[in-house]
Amino acid sequence: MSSILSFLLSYLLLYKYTALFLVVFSAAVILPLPIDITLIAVGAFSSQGFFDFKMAVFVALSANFLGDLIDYAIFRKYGHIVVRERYIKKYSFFLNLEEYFKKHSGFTIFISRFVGVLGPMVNFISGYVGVSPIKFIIYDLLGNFIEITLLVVIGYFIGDYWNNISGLVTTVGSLLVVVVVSYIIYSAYQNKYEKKD
Amino acid sequence: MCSSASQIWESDFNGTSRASLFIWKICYDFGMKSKNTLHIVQTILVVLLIVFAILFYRLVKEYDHLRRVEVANSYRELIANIKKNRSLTSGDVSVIQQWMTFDYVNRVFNLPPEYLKNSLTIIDPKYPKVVISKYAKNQKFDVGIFMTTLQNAVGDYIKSHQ
Repeated sequence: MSSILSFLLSYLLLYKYTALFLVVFSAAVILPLPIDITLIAVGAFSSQGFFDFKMAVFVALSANFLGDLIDYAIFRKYGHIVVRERYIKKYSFFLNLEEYFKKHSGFTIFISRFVGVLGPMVNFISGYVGVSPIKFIIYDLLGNFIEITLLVVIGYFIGDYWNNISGLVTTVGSLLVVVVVSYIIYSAYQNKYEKKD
Repeated sequence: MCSSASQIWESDFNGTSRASLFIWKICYDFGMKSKNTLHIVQTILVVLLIVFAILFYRLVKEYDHLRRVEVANSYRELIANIKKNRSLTSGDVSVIQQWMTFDYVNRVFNLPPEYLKNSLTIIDPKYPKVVISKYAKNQKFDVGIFMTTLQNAVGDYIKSHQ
């Protein structure tokens, strides 16, 4: 088990919901923390009566939503000036990616909730391209609710076995990142190709 | 090409993670310099394909590991094991880890709050809300030996109350 995960779990056991809120919030904003396995562990703790299942889901969902919203709001206000002028305008590929995201923002926001490290990036892009707040909130909440509930439920049913599957969960999460990123890049490029035709 | 790429890499992408920077650098060297979208896409997709292959290999190895430790000889067996072992109260003391707190161990093994305090003569005023490894280090105990003592103490309690 990684020392970061051990550290997070110790603090979860000591400070319970406060620690859960801070960990999930930090991961949602930007920090690359092992959040999937942490939520599975929280589910396992719930099955042992150390956490309340509903409360854990509610706290994790609130923290994740708030973190996502902060990313979105910051980039909605400042992203265009900083990112577009400095990077995006220089490369047609990024302009194309931007266009793809405008077209498929709902799906991308939803699917990125299941792919840990992509979440903050998609929040930034959502703010930057100006996805409507209502749309962002709906897809974000929907994705977060399914993802968090799923992970906590898995942990709840696996119980103390969760530690044995931590490697498997991490690998599956990484595979998902690769698949989703490949899909987005491929679609963005195809989008440009079709436009030329 | 490499030196100019490195300069731009350092000046423009300062603060991003090393892994992302690696991919950015490859993209720049092979594609972005000429602003050829096809090159960028091809390069990124090839890199992602390699990463996918490595991860898939790891996934197979992880599953194989679960089979070796007899977690998952088959899907059905896995589910059966999951149902059987979903609680620490099954009595397997080897699941006690250094990152756990005494409070947590007491709760999941149904120990009386004072049992570990008395049997291990724990003097920390914060007990039971203390991380096991932190307590052992503060008391200058060997963490491994302390863990074994703790597991034995919990095991003894479980045996005497079966």
